[in-house]
Amino acid sequence: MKLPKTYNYLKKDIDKIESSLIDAIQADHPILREASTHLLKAGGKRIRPVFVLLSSQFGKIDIDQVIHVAVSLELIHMATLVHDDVIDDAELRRGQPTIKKQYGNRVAMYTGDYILARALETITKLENPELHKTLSEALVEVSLGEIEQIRDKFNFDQDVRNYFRRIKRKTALLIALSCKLGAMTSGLSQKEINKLYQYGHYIGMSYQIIDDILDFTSSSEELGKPAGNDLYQGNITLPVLFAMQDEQFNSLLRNTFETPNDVTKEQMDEIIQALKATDAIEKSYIVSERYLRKAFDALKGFPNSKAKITLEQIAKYIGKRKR
Amino acid sequence: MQTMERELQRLNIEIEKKIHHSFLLQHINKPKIDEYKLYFLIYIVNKSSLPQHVKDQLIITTMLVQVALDIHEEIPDDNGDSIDVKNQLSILAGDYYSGLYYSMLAEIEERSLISLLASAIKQINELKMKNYYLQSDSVEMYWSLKKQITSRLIQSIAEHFHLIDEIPVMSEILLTCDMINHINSDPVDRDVIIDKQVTKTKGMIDELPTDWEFKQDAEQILHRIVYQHTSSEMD
Repeated sequence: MKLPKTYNYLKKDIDKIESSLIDAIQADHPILREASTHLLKAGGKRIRPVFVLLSSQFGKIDIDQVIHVAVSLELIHMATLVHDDVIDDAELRRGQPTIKKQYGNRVAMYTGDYILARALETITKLENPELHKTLSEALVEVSLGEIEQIRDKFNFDQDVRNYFRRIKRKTALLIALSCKLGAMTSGLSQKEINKLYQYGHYIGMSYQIIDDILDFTSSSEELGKPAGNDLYQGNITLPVLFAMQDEQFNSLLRNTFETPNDVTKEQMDEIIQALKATDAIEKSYIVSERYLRKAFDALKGFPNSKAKITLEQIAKYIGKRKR
Repeated sequence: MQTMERELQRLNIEIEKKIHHSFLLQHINKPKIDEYKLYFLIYIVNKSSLPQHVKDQLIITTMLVQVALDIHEEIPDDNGDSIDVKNQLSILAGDYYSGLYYSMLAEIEERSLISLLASAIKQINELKMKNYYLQSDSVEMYWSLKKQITSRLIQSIAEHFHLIDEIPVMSEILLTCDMINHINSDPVDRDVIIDKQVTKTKGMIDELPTDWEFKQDAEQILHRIVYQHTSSEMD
């Protein structure tokens, strides 16, 4: 997600978070340090820290607390990525070789576990018991979501509710949590905290749905992986579920994936074309836009401020991520 | 020891309950709960003045962390093929159990214990990296690191409760157990290495003060480990 330039006013704090992130991964072992730093320096959009920062702007800002939360959430995200790359056998991330590819599975496992431990060490600098309950429950949910994603692979009988629950855990939860924890650090009311959580949740849902659409509508060059790769890997996303309402597509899909390991590139191309011929992409965009509208609504009660404008701009930006 | 056996059994059941996830357990190797580590944890934590429910949670969460680390250790380091569903789920199981440890201690608002275990996990992974990149001829260093890796969690808890005198013997016993379970070398070499380790551990136990309750327990545990080893050899 390329974020709007209007949050340049946060640059000083974002820089502080970045340098705290670097400090957090200074392992004693040179290769552990190198692998973690390599992952960190490969970039990433730091959307979680940005949401923590923005949400904290609505109350009384305690920048040290905000930094601890932002760093911790980004480290949790990083740890997940390292392990996900082993699970997905991924060779590249953000155009760079993955830790798994460069150092092997074992080092990737150690690095992921190390980074998660650093995240927990960082977050426990904060005393707020509610914050720990919220974050820890979310961590468990995220893992359960990933387990469920494997369970549901190639299951063409799953329904839309199943998909929503999966993307909530996969993407929306950590974004919602970034907003919620940011709000918690600055002493907002429970109602305000909940509103910001909802904003993050809806943004995350919309973002993931668009990602799932782009998997079919973008070219392989734009995606950096073959188009339709999610489906090829067995992940049944919203466009597929909508397209399956078309009987012809439904039987083509089921016949093609009767033996998933034998699906060819030509067959995938045929499926992508058949999916595009249905109204699945349009319907998916409608759902995504519905979530975006809810995200805007969640911000309605807050007074106008730079932070609110930026959050709205992020929502608008997500809506424009089309085709 | 009888009370201890009951405690072991009770907590083992609690840990099993926490580990249980029907889909995961259909696909991954059933996580092994190390009975000796559990024994030492009970011994250490029972010396503290914590309320019983906190003691229980600390023991269960420490074992969850151990299980999580052990599962991740099973992931093959093969760069050639993509890993199978069993290994994919083993990775996620480890992450899930780590999340559970945090969530259980957050529930009882034990922030310092969350931090204590996180710090131990960090150190263990540093040690594992050292061991992974160790030159193959550094046998002594290999076992020294193994000892630190296998006992780091127990050691952290023991240090937290200022029970440092027991640590060297506990570490040596856990290493003995590790050696028995993991040495794959030539059977003759294997027996020589294990005998040497058992003798060393026994010597350390003998040096403990005779009036120390822990001495008798340590003797029994070592005896049990050696007995299990010899009977499995005879099978």
